[in-house]
Amino acid sequence: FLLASNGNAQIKSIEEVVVSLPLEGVTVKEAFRKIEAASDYTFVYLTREVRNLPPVSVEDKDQSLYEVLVAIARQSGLDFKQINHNIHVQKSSKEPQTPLVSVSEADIEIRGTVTDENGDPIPGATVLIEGTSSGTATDIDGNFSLEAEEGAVLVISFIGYQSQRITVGNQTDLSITLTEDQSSLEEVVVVGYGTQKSRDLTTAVSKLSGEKLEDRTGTITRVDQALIGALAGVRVQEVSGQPGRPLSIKVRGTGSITAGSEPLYVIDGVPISGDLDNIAVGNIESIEVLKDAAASAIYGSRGANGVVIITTKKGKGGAPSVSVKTRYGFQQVAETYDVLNRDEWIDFAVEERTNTYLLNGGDPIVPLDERPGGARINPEWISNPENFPDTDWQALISRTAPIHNSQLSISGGTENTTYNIYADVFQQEGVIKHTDYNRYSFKANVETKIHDRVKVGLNISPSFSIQNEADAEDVGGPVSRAKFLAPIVEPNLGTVETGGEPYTRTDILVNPLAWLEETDDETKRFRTIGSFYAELEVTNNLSLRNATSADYSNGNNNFYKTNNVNRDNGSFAQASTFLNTNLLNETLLNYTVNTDNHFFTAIAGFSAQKFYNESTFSEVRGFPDDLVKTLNAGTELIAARSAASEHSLLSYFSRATYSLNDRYLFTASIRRDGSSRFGGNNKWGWFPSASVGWRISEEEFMNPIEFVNNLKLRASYGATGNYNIPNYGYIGSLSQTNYVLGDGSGVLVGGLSPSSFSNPELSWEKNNTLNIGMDIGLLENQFTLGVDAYRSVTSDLLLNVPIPVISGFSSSLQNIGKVENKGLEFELGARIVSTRDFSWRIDGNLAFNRNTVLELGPEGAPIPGFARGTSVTITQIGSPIGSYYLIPVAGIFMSEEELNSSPISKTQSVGDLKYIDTNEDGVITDEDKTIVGKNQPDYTWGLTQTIQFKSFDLSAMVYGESGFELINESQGGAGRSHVGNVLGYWRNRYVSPENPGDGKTPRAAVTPNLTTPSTFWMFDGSFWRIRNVTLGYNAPNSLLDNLGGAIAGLRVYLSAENVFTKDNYFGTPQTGVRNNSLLVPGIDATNTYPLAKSLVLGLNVTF
Amino acid sequence: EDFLNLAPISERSVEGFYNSEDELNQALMGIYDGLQTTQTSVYAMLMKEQRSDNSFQQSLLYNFHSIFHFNESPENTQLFPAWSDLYESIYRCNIFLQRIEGVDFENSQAKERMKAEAKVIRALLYFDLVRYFGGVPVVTQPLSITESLQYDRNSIEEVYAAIISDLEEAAANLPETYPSVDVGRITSMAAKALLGKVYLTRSGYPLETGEWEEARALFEEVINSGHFEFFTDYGSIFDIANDNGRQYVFWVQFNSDAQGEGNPIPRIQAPNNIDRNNPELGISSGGSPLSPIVSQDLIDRFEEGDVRLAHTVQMEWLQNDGTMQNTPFSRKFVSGNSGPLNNWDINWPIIRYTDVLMMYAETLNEQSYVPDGQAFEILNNVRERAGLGPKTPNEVPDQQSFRNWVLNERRFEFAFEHQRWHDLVRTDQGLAVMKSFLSDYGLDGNVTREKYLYPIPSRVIQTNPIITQNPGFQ
Repeated sequence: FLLASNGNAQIKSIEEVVVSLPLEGVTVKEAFRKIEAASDYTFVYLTREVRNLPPVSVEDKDQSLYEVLVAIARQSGLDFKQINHNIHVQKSSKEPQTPLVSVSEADIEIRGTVTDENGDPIPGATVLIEGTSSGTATDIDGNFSLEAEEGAVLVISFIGYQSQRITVGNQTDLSITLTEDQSSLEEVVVVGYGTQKSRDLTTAVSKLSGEKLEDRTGTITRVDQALIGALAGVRVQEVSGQPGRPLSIKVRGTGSITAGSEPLYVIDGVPISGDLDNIAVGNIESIEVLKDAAASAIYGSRGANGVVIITTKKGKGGAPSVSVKTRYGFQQVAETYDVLNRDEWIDFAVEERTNTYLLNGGDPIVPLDERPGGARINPEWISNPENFPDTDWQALISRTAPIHNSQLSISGGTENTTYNIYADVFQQEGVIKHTDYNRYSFKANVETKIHDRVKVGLNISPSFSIQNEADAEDVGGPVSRAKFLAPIVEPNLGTVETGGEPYTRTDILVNPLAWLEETDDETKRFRTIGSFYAELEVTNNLSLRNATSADYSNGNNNFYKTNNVNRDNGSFAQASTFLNTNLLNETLLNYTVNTDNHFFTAIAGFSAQKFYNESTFSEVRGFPDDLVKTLNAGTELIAARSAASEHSLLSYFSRATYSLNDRYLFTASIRRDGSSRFGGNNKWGWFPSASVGWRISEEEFMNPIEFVNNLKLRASYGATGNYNIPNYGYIGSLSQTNYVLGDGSGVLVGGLSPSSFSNPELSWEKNNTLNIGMDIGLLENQFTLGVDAYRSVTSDLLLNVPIPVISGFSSSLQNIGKVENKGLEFELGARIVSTRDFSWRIDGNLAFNRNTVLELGPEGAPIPGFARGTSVTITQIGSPIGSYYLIPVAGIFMSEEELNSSPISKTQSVGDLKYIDTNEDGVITDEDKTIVGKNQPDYTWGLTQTIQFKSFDLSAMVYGESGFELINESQGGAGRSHVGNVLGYWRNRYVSPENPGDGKTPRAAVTPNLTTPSTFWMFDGSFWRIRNVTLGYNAPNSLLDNLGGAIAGLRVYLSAENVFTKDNYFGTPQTGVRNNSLLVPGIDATNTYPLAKSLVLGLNVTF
Repeated sequence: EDFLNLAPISERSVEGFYNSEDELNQALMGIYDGLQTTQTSVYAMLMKEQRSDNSFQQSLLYNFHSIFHFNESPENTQLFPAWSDLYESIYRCNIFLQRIEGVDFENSQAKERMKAEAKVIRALLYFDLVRYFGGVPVVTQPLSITESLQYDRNSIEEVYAAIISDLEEAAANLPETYPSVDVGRITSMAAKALLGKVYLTRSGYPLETGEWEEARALFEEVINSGHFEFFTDYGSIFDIANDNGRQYVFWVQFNSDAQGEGNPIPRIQAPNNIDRNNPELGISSGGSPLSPIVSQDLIDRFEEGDVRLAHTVQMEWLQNDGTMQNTPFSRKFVSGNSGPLNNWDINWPIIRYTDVLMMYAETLNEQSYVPDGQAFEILNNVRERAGLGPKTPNEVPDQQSFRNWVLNERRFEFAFEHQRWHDLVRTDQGLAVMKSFLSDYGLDGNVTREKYLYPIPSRVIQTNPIITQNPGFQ
């Protein structure tokens, strides 16, 4: 039926307009376009409502537009309503046979403003009258006006926000606040100095929302752990399991060789220095990683390794929402090294010492226990092995350790003020005895409007932590000793006080348990990140913001080692303190224009940042006993010193974003940075970027492809830098080199000597990245896929080049060389089933990266990397940085014939490693080294599954890395039973022609063979790990209602971390805290604190 | 702009240094500091003394043993520190000598003297290098990195030419003595004694230049200077009471009170688990796992009644668990105080007066064998002080037997003073002596004349592939 209208005289009713529009099977959109061309009317509709409709046809005859619309309405099931020149389109709520084509009544005019929770206007929000197709959109200031009947219901909606319904009463001025819709796929992404809608992004940004971390906050101890396996192209290495220890994060391979390769961390807008310690995981709103240069160029000289932006939760208005979360669980060592037990060890030791003794010209007649050190054998090992203990040192130093985390958060606000208060306690005992980590974090966030156009806010997050490391990861310290101390040593054998075990050199090998027990190594840290900001809305389009921020941290370490575990060299105490400040002032201008087809926003800013740090260190010896362990109890001062340094950064930056018709997206940014770290002529640098996007899915030709609801192509190019070098890197510094002059015992005379080269030309590394990306959403985003391909070239590499020592130095920091990273990344999301009672979701990511050195130095000479006194890696043009450079091994010599017919190294016999003569010169020398592997994986991946069934949910997260190697440095001295135990594969060693072992493991003997750097040191590092499994139960509303409504939400869950690992190595393949520079990566010195597996029970309550 | 111009707060920079007499003196002290490192580090002990028949370590615990066993590889971790410490110290000399030219001194004599001090040290560092590694790159000015990559090895002759040139120039500009506050600086006598020793060494293997007269004349000057004294008591030479005494011509100063300025030798020579509470059977401070065991060969060859044995070797010692141990170690230089880092106050001789006398005797004999001549007298004085009777021309009837006597006498006189290995090489006795010595351990097969030199550390070649390896180590 038809609602006739008197309308405005100038505006013709659709009934009065006669058109002749032959349409034959066209899309609805096409029909609208044709009608628009033939008349003065404009259709107002939501694309999604007209996308999947059947094609329509209109008879080829003169008829009124009303009749045309009725015809289309019947075929498409759409309602039409003419309001002035607009024809509003809406899906019919009625049967398709009775669509509504109407002309509006003259209604009362309603005005209103739509704002977000922060009071910022939302331009472009849709305001519709429910049950009709009439409506409008808000302007740049969030204002709208429309005519509606009294009692009509307005539906206000905007992408990313929850829709709101308002009944029109007698008021004509409405103020509507939309709250963000967290579940929306059209999410907002933090991009540095602002946010962007995910669909408008033209750069490579990965986002991890805080929700995904919720259940894991009891088991993951640090923010960086949250990123493991979660995002494509972000490689997080757990180089240590020590509670509270930082992880290694690399975004898209390795750009820099010597300058830091860690990304820049930005916490609530404050670029911090140092790592992410003391940041509570439970209060994170989202983590974004800016991966391509166009995204990170806004951070200029610090963007080259990517930027990790961490945003904490803000207050949401309304009545206080209180939530309490608590978890408690236990952890154990995830993987222990396989080493020999007592009997195996005795076999090995006797064999090795005998072989070695004879090899070194020993006389077999000499009794076993009169042979020299290193070859001496206790005859009792052979006669009465059962008299010796069979100590499992790794078990002895480890334990089942509790872990606990509780969080309280309160959020709320009034009309003008919002707040968020957060408190967090985290307590973790280490799986290695006498280690632990306790952290207390707090946060307060308040924002208030002091004027219609002015709001101010304060964020402050103090935290305090205490970490006991017990020197566990010392080189040759407890963790490494526990792997390699012989099993026959008495577990309670100390070092000095209980004497040594003469056959196993316990005088050198300190009891690892005693080491842990008798070493104090406690670090306390206090850190506050705070910022105060004010924002002024200058005009409706222009806002000005100024923020002053500080990141302050200080702390101290007290270290004490007893005489007993210091091998009778005296007890000593060390005290050190540190203080870091990072002050930032930032001014930001934000301009936005939004019209029907154009959306333009631009920022311009200025920032000044200054970093300062100071430290003190003192050491005292001469303690009469170990009762008082502070410095005052010692008598001899060994060292007392302090030092300070600072650096500063000045920046100007700007970014503009423009989108046309919601389809064509353009972003450009530029930054100019000046840093104190660089030499005279190179203090300043420009960092531009540009990117474009094309939302193909909005194009009309995509209409027939109905299952594609989002398709966007992106391309970006940008320049970033890396300024991570020492503060005064370009200045050649002098160090104290004193001497003694004068009669008698003489007096100290101060001396100074150069300790580094001057290089006034030193500047930042320059990185240029081209990124091509595509985002696809299918079936209303039931399936989403993001693909990125990139090529990033870093030039003017900051390289700490090993140089000939005849120059006076063994290395020098230079801008030399060029390196390329190229790769492919996929991020996949699939809601396979999505019903109220059952849903199943899979999120996956996969990233490939290839690293290639393109240029090096002026001459292109390769750079060796050293371990154990020889080069084990090489960085050369055409290969990945720090490629393993070793002599390949082809098994062992199994017979005299094989030995005699092969090129050999030094002195070799049957049972020794058979090296490959790669240069075919007949002998095995250093020249036979060749590139045999690398530490950067071919690909990394992560997979998360979430299944929800009624009130239960189950999620599992798996990640893996494939196609990389690592070096076990202890192999270089392997087979040395007098230093202790050896790895389990020695069970398969060559013993005799009758008992040749596995053909890969050589005989037990100390020979130069093992110390020759060969692939015998190298292992496959590939692995995959079930990182987390969580089973949860959310109390249904029916149950909560029975509780009287006091509780708004209740969740119980069980979460397990590091459930299972599949690898081909003895320990964790991501290991290594020593020697691991990018030139010499992946060296396992076997002193890495083991990773823990854990099981945690958690409870979340919201009031 | 000021916001970005930040100067280091806690360290001085090279810029603005080397501009005044005072700053140059600090730089010179930095050069002297290099003597402490290069002359008493573990590698110096290993490469100068333990390589010889005076010491043997059967233990296979560390890769040190390969130096005793004559099977070290270029990867041996002791070799690179020797190379890098020596060249880093040479760099300190080179930049000092370059920068001092542009600075005006009130007293131009002082300027010349300071240059001379640096040159003597540079000569000594090259003397170590050429004896360790043979022909090494001769660098006499600061290099750019590019230049350093183009430096090939020089010949042994060229290295010696540079040493001699430095020493000759320096000797002319140094005083014979210093006021007491400056005692410890290098004198003209030290320069001349070192130059004499250089000529003496060149005259032997492998150059065999026969510069005996040049050496003799220099030693004679030192002897006739009247500044030195032949102590009549062997023990008092190493007594802390005579730390800067007239028995030393060229030495390195130490002081255990200041951090890092103490002498590590007594610490690294003592066994790891020695009792530190028993000064008679233990030592008051120190001990290290690599403590060199004095060879039985050395002990056996000391003549009956030689007082030097007791001053050199401690036969038995008390371990900290109360057991007596009988692996002998050297206790020379265990005298005086030690500091908290177990480093000692006692100075370290590079050339002592007895060395000058004995080298003088050697040059006399090389020029012509004179029965009961001055050379006999010098050696017999040394024997007498050691509590031994004189040798007669009947026992030492010709030039060759006198040579053997000198070499042998030097072995006992200077045991564990880092002379023995270089003596064996320059007299070309190393091959025979070490083959015979190591045959007791079945290791004589490892000894070749090529082992007179150590391999160039692999890291040196890996950073600059122009550098070639010594024969026998490729």
